This record gives sequence, C-alpha cells and structure tokens, in this order.
Amino acid sequence: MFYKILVAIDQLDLGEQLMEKAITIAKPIDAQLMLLNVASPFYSGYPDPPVYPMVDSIYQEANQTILERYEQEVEAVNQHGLELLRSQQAIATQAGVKTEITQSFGDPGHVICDVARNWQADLIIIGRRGLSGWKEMILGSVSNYVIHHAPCSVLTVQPLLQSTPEAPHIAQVHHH
Amino acid sequence: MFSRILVAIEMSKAGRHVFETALALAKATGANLKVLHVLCPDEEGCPDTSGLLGTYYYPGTDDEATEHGQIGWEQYSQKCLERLRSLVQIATTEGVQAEFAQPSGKPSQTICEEARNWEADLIVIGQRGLSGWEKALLGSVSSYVIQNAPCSVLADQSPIRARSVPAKV
Repeated sequence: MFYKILVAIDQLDLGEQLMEKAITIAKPIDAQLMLLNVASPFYSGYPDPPVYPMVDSIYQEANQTILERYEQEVEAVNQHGLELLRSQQAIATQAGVKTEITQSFGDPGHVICDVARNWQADLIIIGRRGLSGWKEMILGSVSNYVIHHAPCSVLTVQPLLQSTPEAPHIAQVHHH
Repeated sequence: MFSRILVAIEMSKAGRHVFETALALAKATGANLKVLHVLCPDEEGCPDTSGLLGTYYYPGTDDEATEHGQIGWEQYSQKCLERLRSLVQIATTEGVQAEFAQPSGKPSQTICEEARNWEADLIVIGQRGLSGWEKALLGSVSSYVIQNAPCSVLADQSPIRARSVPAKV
C-alpha cells in the first residue's frame, strides 16, 4: 500500500483536486504526505531573466537595478509557491493527515522523480496539463516523464475541464 | 473521493499485484470495484489464434485450423473467466462490492471505453515496465490510457518492484 505519498502541487487549478485525492487515499491508512512545488523557468509565470546583463557596461547603476529587480521577481515567485504549499498543508493537516512541504528549483519531471527517490515515496500524485499533439511534443509532458521514470506508482489526475466529447452523430442517409 | 474503481488486469502474476493494489484502495475508500480483463490474442499466454483468420491455402486445412483456433480461444476465455470470478470472490470476502467484465478488443481502447461506460472515477492499471525499443514496438497500454482516460489513472508499479526488489520481511 501507499504509506508515503508525494503530491506534485502545480500552479494550475488542479491543486485542490490533487489534495482531495491525496487525503482520500492517505487518511484511512494513516499515510503521510509530502507536498512538492517545483519552481521552474519552464512554467509560465516565472520571470524571464534579463536579456543581456552588460557586465562591462559603463552604466553600472542601470545594470545593478535590472539584476536587483530580477532577484525580487524570483523571490516573489518562490514566496508565492511557499504560500501555496502552506495553504494546502493546512488543509491536509486539518483533515488529520501528517504532511510536510518542500520546494525546489529545476526541471519539474527530474525534480519530482528525484524527490520521490530520496524520500522513498510509494506513490506520486500528479496532474495532467492535458496538452496534446504539437504542444505536447514541444513543451513536453511532465506527467509522461514522471510515469516512465518514477521509482514508484503514479496517480495522474485529469484536468477537470476535459469533458469527454460525445462521438459525433453520423448522419443517416435516407434512400428514397 | 473514489466510489468506482476500475482495475484492468492481465492474467500474469503482475495482474495479481495490480488487483491487490486496487482492492486495498477500494477497501480503504469504500469504493466499488470492477475487475476488467480484455481478451486479446496479443496477450502473453493466449493460445495461437491465427487459424481464426482463415488464411490457409487448402480449404480442408483451413476448416481444421479454424476449429482448432476456436477451441483454443474458447478454452482460454473460460480459464480467464474463472480467474476473474475468483478475484471477485476475494474482494467480496474482504467486504468490497465487486463485479467483473471480459470484453474482447484492443486493451488500451477497451479500458477507456469501459471506464466511460461504467463511469469509473479511477482506473488502476499495471505497467509492463518495457523500455526503449520494446515500448516503441509494442506500445504502452498505460500511456494510451493515461492520455485518453475520462478519469484519474493509477499506474501501479508494484509488479515491477516486486520483480526487482526482494519483498520486505
């Protein structure tokens, strides 16, 4: 059974769903949770680095300002991630599930698998962005990476909006 | 919450591990369980059914081959049904409401279809643990299911782990 469950919290709106599933599984068997947020430059929302910090520029002041502003932006993203983690942790704790949080920086797929290995997770819970075709080929699928590289079982949660479209009706041809 | 868990199993030992994972989850969450086995000539252990294709040249041989294929398929199907019944029995003894189904078809698509029709909220599926060329050639059922399922999917690795790691004492 799954006694150590790693929840890969993401910035998407799936957070609540992931937590709900995690608590559903963890609570009856007294499992513990680890909530992980990966701050990744590959996610939208992460500040773009200053394009060309001119180290040898004569305008040292301007350069400094740009770098400082960038640092502040990164700091804000990290802070936002931590707040997200803490709020989800509160939900789990309130439900009576022992929960830890952690935040790291890097390629989400790699980081998730690394943390799972180090913490010796039995199960990873992860959301699907629901990309397909070209988008998935270019952006890559974090969940797909995790499924094939994880050291343990993986529960993928589908995005809520993905309602299954009804098969199109085939118009019947009437012969007269 | 999970209230309807669909577990797709193979007839191999791995199937048993996957079933056990699903059963434990159903028990813990109070969900109903449906054990699904998709009959498919490609599965390991399925007898040779090439006779059913009717591709032999001589008419006499063809009939015989067809009959042979039919008998083999029928017996295999019965054997799997018995297995499914015994699994449902196990679940029932554990206090989990369970049923089974054995459609024939392409496993990946059939599993998704069944999940839609039965309105499953979780699919539990095993991973064959293939990699590289094997995966490229045989295709990954779990990958297809994860991308096309109408609900959450648990790709259970306990069969692979059971194979590579000695069981905890």
